[in-house]
Amino acid sequence: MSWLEAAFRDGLTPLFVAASRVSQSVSGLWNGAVALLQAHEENERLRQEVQTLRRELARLEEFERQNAALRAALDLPADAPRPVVFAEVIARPLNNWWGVLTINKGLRHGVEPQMGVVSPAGAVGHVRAASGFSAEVILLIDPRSAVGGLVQRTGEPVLVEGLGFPGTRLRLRPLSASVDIRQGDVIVTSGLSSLFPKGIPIGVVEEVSIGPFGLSVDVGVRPHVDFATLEVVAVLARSAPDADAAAAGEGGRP
Amino acid sequence: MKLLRKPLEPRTIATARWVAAGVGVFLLVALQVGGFGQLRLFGVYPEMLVVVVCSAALHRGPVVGGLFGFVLGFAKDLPGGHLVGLSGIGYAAAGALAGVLGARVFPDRWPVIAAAVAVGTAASQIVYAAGASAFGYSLPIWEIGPGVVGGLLAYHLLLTPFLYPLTRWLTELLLPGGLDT
Repeated sequence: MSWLEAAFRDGLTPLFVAASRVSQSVSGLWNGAVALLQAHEENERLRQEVQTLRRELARLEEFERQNAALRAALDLPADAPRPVVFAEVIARPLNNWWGVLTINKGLRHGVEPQMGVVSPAGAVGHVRAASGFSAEVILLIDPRSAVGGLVQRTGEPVLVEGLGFPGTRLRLRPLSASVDIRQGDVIVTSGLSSLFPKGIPIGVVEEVSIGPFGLSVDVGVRPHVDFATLEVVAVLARSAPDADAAAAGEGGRP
Repeated sequence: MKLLRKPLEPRTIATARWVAAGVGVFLLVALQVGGFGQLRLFGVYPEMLVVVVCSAALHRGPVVGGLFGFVLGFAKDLPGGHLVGLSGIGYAAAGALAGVLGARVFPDRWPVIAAAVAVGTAASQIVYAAGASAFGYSLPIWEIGPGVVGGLLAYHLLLTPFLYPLTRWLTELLLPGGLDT
Protein backbone atom coordinates (compact mmCIF):
# COMPACT_ATOMS: atom_id res chain seq x y z
CA MET A 1 0.00 0.00 0.00
CA SER A 2 1.49 3.37 -1.03
CA TRP A 3 1.90 6.26 1.45
CA LEU A 4 -0.83 8.20 -0.40
CA GLU A 5 -3.34 5.34 -0.08
CA ALA A 6 -2.39 4.80 3.57
CA ALA A 7 -2.69 8.53 4.37
CA PHE A 8 -6.04 8.80 2.58
CA ARG A 9 -7.41 5.75 4.37
CA ASP A 10 -6.14 6.84 7.79
CA GLY A 11 -7.53 10.33 7.21
CA LEU A 12 -10.91 8.90 6.34
CA THR A 13 -11.00 6.37 9.19
CA PRO A 14 -12.77 8.68 11.72
CA LEU A 15 -15.34 9.57 9.05
CA PHE A 16 -15.78 5.88 8.17
CA VAL A 17 -16.40 5.13 11.85
CA ALA A 18 -18.95 7.96 12.19
CA ALA A 19 -20.77 7.05 8.96
CA SER A 20 -20.69 3.37 9.89
CA ARG A 21 -22.25 4.06 13.32
CA VAL A 22 -25.07 6.07 11.70
CA SER A 23 -25.62 3.39 9.08
CA GLN A 24 -25.63 0.62 11.70
CA SER A 25 -28.12 2.59 13.81
CA VAL A 26 -30.48 2.94 10.84
CA SER A 27 -30.28 -0.73 9.93
CA GLY A 28 -30.43 -1.64 13.65
CA LEU A 29 -33.73 0.21 14.06
CA TRP A 30 -35.23 -1.65 11.13
CA ASN A 31 -33.88 -5.03 12.22
CA GLY A 32 -35.10 -4.35 15.77
CA ALA A 33 -38.63 -3.66 14.57
CA VAL A 34 -38.65 -6.84 12.48
CA ALA A 35 -37.19 -8.88 15.36
CA LEU A 36 -39.88 -7.63 17.76
CA LEU A 37 -42.58 -9.01 15.49
CA GLN A 38 -40.94 -12.44 15.48
CA ALA A 39 -39.77 -12.43 19.10
CA HIS A 40 -42.08 -15.16 20.42
CA GLU A 41 -41.24 -17.73 17.73
CA GLU A 42 -37.57 -16.80 17.96
CA ASN A 43 -37.64 -17.35 21.73
CA GLU A 44 -39.12 -20.84 21.37
CA ARG A 45 -36.60 -21.78 18.70
CA LEU A 46 -33.69 -20.50 20.79
CA ARG A 47 -34.85 -22.45 23.89
CA GLN A 48 -34.75 -25.66 21.87
CA GLU A 49 -31.39 -24.72 20.40
CA VAL A 50 -29.94 -24.08 23.88
CA GLN A 51 -31.03 -27.59 24.97
CA THR A 52 -29.38 -29.13 21.91
CA LEU A 53 -26.21 -27.11 22.40
CA ARG A 54 -26.00 -28.08 26.09
CA ARG A 55 -26.04 -31.75 25.11
CA GLU A 56 -23.46 -31.07 22.39
CA LEU A 57 -21.24 -29.16 24.85
CA ALA A 58 -21.25 -32.05 27.30
CA ARG A 59 -20.26 -34.42 24.47
CA LEU A 60 -17.46 -32.08 23.30
CA GLU A 61 -16.10 -31.67 26.83
CA GLU A 62 -15.76 -35.44 27.01
CA PHE A 63 -14.00 -35.47 23.62
CA GLU A 64 -11.67 -32.69 24.78
CA ARG A 65 -10.75 -34.65 27.89
CA GLN A 66 -10.06 -37.77 25.80
CA ASN A 67 -8.07 -35.71 23.28
CA ALA A 68 -5.88 -34.19 26.01
CA ALA A 69 -5.27 -37.65 27.50
CA LEU A 70 -4.34 -39.11 24.10
CA ARG A 71 -2.05 -36.19 23.26
CA ALA A 72 -0.31 -36.64 26.59
CA ALA A 73 0.05 -40.39 25.94
CA LEU A 74 1.57 -39.74 22.50
CA ASP A 75 3.77 -36.91 23.83
CA LEU A 76 2.26 -34.35 21.40
CA PRO A 77 2.47 -30.64 22.28
CA ALA A 78 -0.78 -28.99 23.37
CA ASP A 79 -2.45 -26.51 20.98
CA ALA A 80 -1.32 -23.05 22.04
CA PRO A 81 -4.06 -20.40 21.75
CA ARG A 82 -3.17 -17.61 19.30
CA PRO A 83 -3.33 -13.98 20.38
CA VAL A 84 -6.15 -12.05 18.72
CA VAL A 85 -6.92 -8.42 17.98
CA PHE A 86 -10.63 -7.58 18.05
CA ALA A 87 -11.72 -5.04 15.45
CA GLU A 88 -14.88 -3.30 14.33
CA VAL A 89 -16.03 -3.34 10.72
CA ILE A 90 -16.10 0.29 9.58
CA ALA A 91 -16.63 -0.05 5.84
CA ARG A 92 -18.14 -2.56 3.46
CA PRO A 93 -17.03 -3.51 -0.05
CA LEU A 94 -15.96 -0.57 -2.20
CA ASN A 95 -17.90 -2.10 -5.07
CA ASN A 96 -19.88 -5.23 -5.74
CA TRP A 97 -17.22 -7.17 -7.64
CA TRP A 98 -14.96 -7.81 -4.65
CA GLY A 99 -15.62 -9.06 -1.14
CA VAL A 100 -13.67 -6.64 1.03
CA LEU A 101 -14.14 -5.13 4.49
CA THR A 102 -12.29 -2.32 6.25
CA ILE A 103 -11.62 -2.72 9.97
CA ASN A 104 -10.65 -0.07 12.52
CA LYS A 105 -7.37 -1.70 13.59
CA GLY A 106 -4.10 -1.43 11.69
CA LEU A 107 -0.34 -1.67 12.03
CA ARG A 108 -0.39 0.38 15.26
CA HIS A 109 -2.56 -2.31 16.85
CA GLY A 110 -0.49 -5.24 15.63
CA VAL A 111 -2.59 -6.06 12.55
CA GLU A 112 -0.42 -7.01 9.58
CA PRO A 113 -1.02 -8.35 6.06
CA GLN A 114 -1.52 -12.12 5.72
CA MET A 115 -3.18 -12.53 9.11
CA GLY A 116 -6.32 -14.66 9.34
CA VAL A 117 -9.63 -13.07 10.36
CA VAL A 118 -12.42 -14.97 12.11
CA SER A 119 -15.80 -14.37 13.72
CA PRO A 120 -17.77 -16.52 16.20
CA ALA A 121 -19.45 -18.20 13.22
CA GLY A 122 -16.22 -19.21 11.49
CA ALA A 123 -13.48 -18.11 9.10
CA VAL A 124 -13.96 -14.66 7.58
CA GLY A 125 -10.88 -14.03 5.41
CA HIS A 126 -7.42 -12.55 5.66
CA VAL A 127 -5.81 -9.12 5.92
CA ARG A 128 -4.61 -7.91 2.52
CA ALA A 129 -3.19 -4.53 3.42
CA ALA A 130 -2.86 -2.48 6.59
CA SER A 131 -2.18 1.17 7.29
CA GLY A 132 -1.58 2.77 10.69
CA PHE A 133 -5.14 2.77 11.96
CA SER A 134 -7.13 0.51 9.63
CA ALA A 135 -6.79 -2.60 7.51
CA GLU A 136 -8.44 -4.16 4.49
CA VAL A 137 -9.76 -7.71 4.89
CA ILE A 138 -10.33 -9.93 1.86
CA LEU A 139 -13.36 -12.10 2.58
CA LEU A 140 -13.62 -15.78 1.70
CA ILE A 141 -16.23 -14.83 -0.94
CA ASP A 142 -13.82 -12.54 -2.83
CA PRO A 143 -12.83 -13.97 -6.23
CA ARG A 144 -9.16 -13.48 -5.22
CA SER A 145 -9.50 -15.62 -2.09
CA ALA A 146 -8.36 -19.25 -1.90
CA VAL A 147 -8.10 -21.01 1.46
CA GLY A 148 -6.99 -24.53 2.27
CA GLY A 149 -9.68 -26.65 3.90
CA LEU A 150 -10.61 -30.15 4.95
CA VAL A 151 -13.80 -32.14 4.61
CA GLN A 152 -14.47 -32.76 8.30
CA ARG A 153 -16.07 -36.20 7.74
CA THR A 154 -13.24 -37.69 5.66
CA GLY A 155 -10.24 -35.41 6.20
CA GLU A 156 -9.90 -34.89 2.41
CA PRO A 157 -7.89 -31.75 1.55
CA VAL A 158 -9.74 -29.15 -0.53
CA LEU A 159 -9.28 -25.59 -1.74
CA VAL A 160 -12.11 -23.15 -1.01
CA GLU A 161 -12.42 -20.25 -3.48
CA GLY A 162 -14.59 -17.15 -3.55
CA LEU A 163 -17.08 -16.44 -6.29
CA GLY A 164 -17.79 -12.76 -5.62
CA PHE A 165 -21.34 -11.49 -5.90
CA PRO A 166 -23.83 -12.24 -4.39
CA GLY A 167 -21.54 -13.34 -1.62
CA THR A 168 -23.52 -16.28 -0.39
CA ARG A 169 -21.64 -19.12 -2.01
CA LEU A 170 -18.11 -20.51 -2.20
CA ARG A 171 -16.61 -22.91 -4.72
CA LEU A 172 -14.75 -25.94 -3.51
CA ARG A 173 -11.94 -27.57 -5.47
CA PRO A 174 -10.95 -31.08 -4.37
CA LEU A 175 -7.20 -31.70 -4.27
CA SER A 176 -7.37 -35.44 -4.84
CA ALA A 177 -8.85 -37.37 -7.78
CA SER A 178 -10.93 -39.89 -5.81
CA VAL A 179 -12.78 -37.46 -3.66
CA ASP A 180 -15.72 -38.32 -1.41
CA ILE A 181 -17.80 -35.19 -0.84
CA ARG A 182 -21.51 -35.24 -0.05
CA GLN A 183 -24.20 -32.70 0.48
CA GLY A 184 -24.17 -31.55 4.11
CA ASP A 185 -20.45 -32.16 4.66
CA VAL A 186 -18.83 -29.56 6.90
CA ILE A 187 -15.69 -27.85 5.59
CA VAL A 188 -13.13 -26.58 8.10
CA THR A 189 -9.74 -24.89 7.78
CA SER A 190 -6.83 -27.25 7.22
CA GLY A 191 -4.35 -25.51 9.53
CA LEU A 192 -1.57 -26.09 6.99
CA SER A 193 -0.56 -22.42 6.97
CA SER A 194 -0.19 -19.64 9.49
CA LEU A 195 -3.44 -17.95 8.40
CA PHE A 196 -5.86 -20.12 10.36
CA PRO A 197 -5.48 -22.86 12.95
CA LYS A 198 -6.98 -26.22 12.07
CA GLY A 199 -10.70 -26.80 12.47
CA ILE A 200 -12.27 -23.35 12.10
CA PRO A 201 -15.62 -23.82 10.32
CA ILE A 202 -15.78 -22.48 6.75
CA GLY A 203 -19.13 -23.72 5.50
CA VAL A 204 -21.44 -26.57 4.54
CA VAL A 205 -21.52 -28.35 1.17
CA GLU A 206 -24.75 -27.35 -0.51
CA GLU A 207 -24.53 -29.06 -3.88
CA VAL A 208 -22.24 -31.50 -5.62
CA SER A 209 -22.44 -31.92 -9.37
CA ILE A 210 -20.26 -34.31 -11.31
CA GLY A 211 -19.17 -33.19 -14.78
CA PRO A 212 -19.41 -35.30 -17.98
CA PHE A 213 -17.63 -38.70 -17.73
CA GLY A 214 -16.89 -37.93 -14.08
CA LEU A 215 -13.88 -35.83 -15.05
CA SER A 216 -14.75 -32.80 -12.97
CA VAL A 217 -16.58 -32.07 -9.75
CA ASP A 218 -18.35 -28.78 -9.07
CA VAL A 219 -19.01 -28.27 -5.37
CA GLY A 220 -20.91 -25.33 -3.95
CA VAL A 221 -20.41 -24.38 -0.29
CA ARG A 222 -22.61 -22.11 1.81
CA PRO A 223 -20.36 -20.18 4.23
CA HIS A 224 -21.15 -20.24 7.95
CA VAL A 225 -20.47 -16.51 8.25
CA ASP A 226 -23.08 -14.00 7.11
CA PHE A 227 -20.69 -11.46 5.58
CA ALA A 228 -23.43 -8.86 5.08
CA THR A 229 -24.06 -8.43 8.81
CA LEU A 230 -20.56 -8.76 10.27
CA GLU A 231 -19.85 -6.03 12.81
CA VAL A 232 -16.95 -7.31 14.92
CA VAL A 233 -14.15 -9.66 13.87
CA ALA A 234 -11.01 -11.09 15.46
CA VAL A 235 -7.66 -10.90 13.69
CA LEU A 236 -5.44 -13.89 14.46
CA ALA A 237 -1.81 -13.13 15.08
CA ARG A 238 0.65 -15.45 13.38
CA SER A 239 1.47 -18.68 15.18
CA ALA A 240 5.18 -18.64 14.36
CA PRO A 241 7.39 -16.23 12.41
CA ASP A 242 8.80 -18.96 10.17
CA ALA A 243 5.30 -19.85 8.98
CA ASP A 244 5.04 -16.60 7.00
CA ALA A 245 6.41 -18.21 3.89
CA ALA A 246 3.76 -20.90 4.03
CA ALA A 247 1.04 -18.28 4.37
CA ALA A 248 2.15 -16.59 1.16
CA GLY A 249 0.97 -19.63 -0.77
CA GLU A 250 -2.50 -19.50 0.74
CA GLY A 251 -5.08 -16.79 1.09
CA GLY A 252 -4.75 -15.01 -2.22
CA ARG A 253 -4.50 -15.59 -5.92
CA PRO A 254 -4.09 -13.14 -8.78
CA MET B 1 -20.12 55.95 10.80
CA LYS B 2 -21.38 53.46 8.31
CA LEU B 3 -19.10 50.53 7.67
CA LEU B 4 -19.14 49.30 4.11
CA ARG B 5 -18.34 45.65 3.72
CA LYS B 6 -15.82 45.11 0.98
CA PRO B 7 -17.11 42.61 -1.61
CA LEU B 8 -15.13 39.40 -1.86
CA GLU B 9 -12.62 39.12 -4.69
CA PRO B 10 -13.71 36.71 -7.45
CA ARG B 11 -10.46 34.81 -6.87
CA THR B 12 -11.30 34.34 -3.17
CA ILE B 13 -14.76 33.08 -4.05
CA ALA B 14 -13.29 30.66 -6.58
CA THR B 15 -10.75 29.39 -4.03
CA ALA B 16 -13.47 28.93 -1.41
CA ARG B 17 -15.52 26.96 -3.92
CA TRP B 18 -12.59 24.69 -4.74
CA VAL B 19 -11.91 24.07 -1.05
CA ALA B 20 -15.61 23.35 -0.45
CA ALA B 21 -15.64 21.00 -3.46
CA GLY B 22 -12.57 19.17 -2.07
CA VAL B 23 -14.18 18.77 1.34
CA GLY B 24 -17.38 17.66 -0.42
CA VAL B 25 -15.52 14.92 -2.30
CA PHE B 26 -13.93 13.75 0.97
CA LEU B 27 -17.32 13.62 2.73
CA LEU B 28 -19.03 11.91 -0.20
CA VAL B 29 -16.39 9.17 -0.26
CA ALA B 30 -16.76 8.66 3.51
CA LEU B 31 -20.54 8.52 3.15
CA GLN B 32 -20.28 5.99 0.32
CA VAL B 33 -17.71 3.71 1.93
CA GLY B 34 -18.81 3.89 5.56
CA GLY B 35 -22.52 4.72 5.20
CA PHE B 36 -24.38 3.85 2.02
CA GLY B 37 -21.89 1.11 1.27
CA GLN B 38 -23.23 -0.87 4.25
CA LEU B 39 -26.92 -0.76 3.35
CA ARG B 40 -27.44 -3.81 1.19
CA LEU B 41 -30.60 -4.11 -0.87
CA PHE B 42 -31.49 -6.20 -3.95
CA GLY B 43 -28.37 -8.24 -3.14
CA VAL B 44 -25.98 -5.34 -3.80
CA TYR B 45 -24.30 -2.45 -2.05
CA PRO B 46 -25.20 0.86 -3.72
CA GLU B 47 -22.68 3.13 -5.42
CA MET B 48 -24.36 6.43 -4.59
CA LEU B 49 -21.42 8.30 -6.11
CA VAL B 50 -22.58 7.20 -9.58
CA VAL B 51 -25.98 8.80 -8.93
CA VAL B 52 -24.26 11.98 -7.75
CA VAL B 53 -21.98 12.06 -10.82
CA CYS B 54 -24.86 11.48 -13.27
CA SER B 55 -27.05 14.08 -11.55
CA ALA B 56 -24.29 16.71 -11.72
CA ALA B 57 -23.29 15.78 -15.27
CA LEU B 58 -26.83 16.25 -16.56
CA HIS B 59 -26.48 20.00 -15.91
CA ARG B 60 -22.78 20.50 -16.50
CA GLY B 61 -22.16 18.55 -19.70
CA PRO B 62 -19.92 15.62 -20.65
CA VAL B 63 -16.54 17.25 -19.98
CA VAL B 64 -17.27 18.45 -16.45
CA GLY B 65 -19.30 15.27 -15.81
CA GLY B 66 -16.41 13.09 -16.95
CA LEU B 67 -13.85 14.98 -14.87
CA PHE B 68 -16.09 15.01 -11.79
CA GLY B 69 -16.69 11.29 -12.23
CA PHE B 70 -12.98 10.58 -12.51
CA VAL B 71 -12.16 12.58 -9.37
CA LEU B 72 -14.90 10.92 -7.30
CA GLY B 73 -14.09 7.42 -8.59
CA PHE B 74 -10.36 7.91 -8.01
CA ALA B 75 -10.99 9.19 -4.46
CA LYS B 76 -13.26 6.20 -3.78
CA ASP B 77 -10.55 3.79 -4.95
CA LEU B 78 -7.79 5.32 -2.83
CA PRO B 79 -8.74 3.93 0.59
CA GLY B 80 -9.19 0.48 -0.94
CA GLY B 81 -5.75 0.56 -2.52
CA HIS B 82 -6.78 -1.96 -5.16
CA LEU B 83 -6.95 -1.20 -8.89
CA VAL B 84 -6.76 2.48 -8.00
CA GLY B 85 -8.19 4.63 -10.79
CA LEU B 86 -10.39 1.98 -12.38
CA SER B 87 -13.53 3.25 -10.65
CA GLY B 88 -12.40 6.71 -11.75
CA ILE B 89 -12.48 5.60 -15.38
CA GLY B 90 -15.85 3.90 -14.89
CA TYR B 91 -17.38 6.94 -13.21
CA ALA B 92 -15.87 9.21 -15.87
CA ALA B 93 -17.66 7.15 -18.52
CA ALA B 94 -20.89 7.45 -16.50
CA GLY B 95 -20.49 11.21 -16.14
CA ALA B 96 -19.63 11.72 -19.80
CA LEU B 97 -22.64 9.69 -20.99
CA ALA B 98 -25.02 11.48 -18.62
CA GLY B 99 -23.52 14.80 -19.73
CA VAL B 100 -24.13 13.99 -23.40
CA LEU B 101 -27.73 13.11 -22.57
CA GLY B 102 -28.19 16.34 -20.63
CA ALA B 103 -26.77 18.38 -23.49
CA ARG B 104 -29.23 16.89 -26.00
CA VAL B 105 -32.49 16.85 -24.06
CA PHE B 106 -33.93 19.08 -21.33
CA PRO B 107 -32.53 17.43 -18.21
CA ASP B 108 -35.03 18.42 -15.51
CA ARG B 109 -37.52 15.65 -16.22
CA TRP B 110 -37.70 12.40 -14.27
CA PRO B 111 -37.55 10.08 -17.31
CA VAL B 112 -34.37 11.83 -18.46
CA ILE B 113 -32.83 11.76 -14.97
CA ALA B 114 -33.72 8.07 -14.58
CA ALA B 115 -32.29 7.27 -18.02
CA ALA B 116 -29.06 9.12 -17.19
CA VAL B 117 -28.66 7.25 -13.90
CA ALA B 118 -29.44 3.90 -15.55
CA VAL B 119 -27.00 4.46 -18.43
CA GLY B 120 -24.33 5.76 -16.04
CA THR B 121 -24.74 2.81 -13.67
CA ALA B 122 -24.47 0.23 -16.44
CA ALA B 123 -21.52 2.03 -18.08
CA SER B 124 -19.57 2.36 -14.83
CA GLN B 125 -19.94 -1.35 -14.03
CA ILE B 126 -19.13 -2.56 -17.54
CA VAL B 127 -16.03 -0.37 -17.73
CA TYR B 128 -14.90 -1.53 -14.27
CA ALA B 129 -15.39 -5.22 -15.02
CA ALA B 130 -13.71 -4.92 -18.43
CA GLY B 131 -10.80 -3.00 -16.88
CA ALA B 132 -10.34 -5.56 -14.09
CA SER B 133 -10.34 -8.36 -16.68
CA ALA B 134 -7.78 -6.43 -18.73
CA PHE B 135 -5.53 -6.31 -15.64
CA GLY B 136 -5.72 -10.09 -15.39
CA TYR B 137 -8.35 -10.55 -12.67
CA SER B 138 -10.59 -13.43 -13.57
CA LEU B 139 -13.93 -11.97 -12.52
CA PRO B 140 -16.85 -14.31 -13.21
CA ILE B 141 -18.47 -11.54 -15.30
CA TRP B 142 -21.14 -13.62 -17.03
CA GLU B 143 -22.14 -15.39 -13.82
CA ILE B 144 -22.41 -12.34 -11.58
CA GLY B 145 -22.55 -9.36 -13.98
CA PRO B 146 -26.32 -9.37 -14.65
CA GLY B 147 -27.04 -9.61 -10.92
CA VAL B 148 -24.65 -6.76 -10.06
CA VAL B 149 -25.89 -4.42 -12.82
CA GLY B 150 -29.58 -5.29 -12.34
CA GLY B 151 -29.43 -4.88 -8.56
CA LEU B 152 -27.56 -1.59 -8.83
CA LEU B 153 -30.01 -0.22 -11.41
CA ALA B 154 -32.94 -0.88 -9.09
CA TYR B 155 -31.12 0.51 -6.05
CA HIS B 156 -29.86 3.64 -7.81
CA LEU B 157 -33.28 4.46 -9.26
CA LEU B 158 -34.64 4.22 -5.71
CA LEU B 159 -32.00 6.65 -4.45
CA THR B 160 -32.33 9.12 -7.33
CA PRO B 161 -35.39 11.06 -6.05
CA PHE B 162 -33.43 11.89 -2.88
CA LEU B 163 -29.96 12.41 -4.28
CA TYR B 164 -30.79 14.28 -7.50
CA PRO B 165 -32.33 17.44 -5.94
CA LEU B 166 -29.52 17.58 -3.36
CA THR B 167 -26.81 17.19 -5.99
CA ARG B 168 -28.47 19.75 -8.25
CA TRP B 169 -28.54 22.31 -5.42
CA LEU B 170 -24.92 21.60 -4.44
CA THR B 171 -23.79 21.80 -8.07
CA GLU B 172 -25.42 25.22 -8.42
CA LEU B 173 -23.70 26.35 -5.23
CA LEU B 174 -20.21 25.06 -5.97
CA LEU B 175 -20.05 25.03 -9.76
CA PRO B 176 -22.31 27.87 -10.92
CA GLY B 177 -23.00 28.24 -14.62
CA GLY B 178 -23.76 25.22 -16.70
CA LEU B 179 -25.83 23.99 -19.60
CA ASP B 180 -29.01 25.33 -18.05
CA THR B 181 -27.83 28.91 -17.43
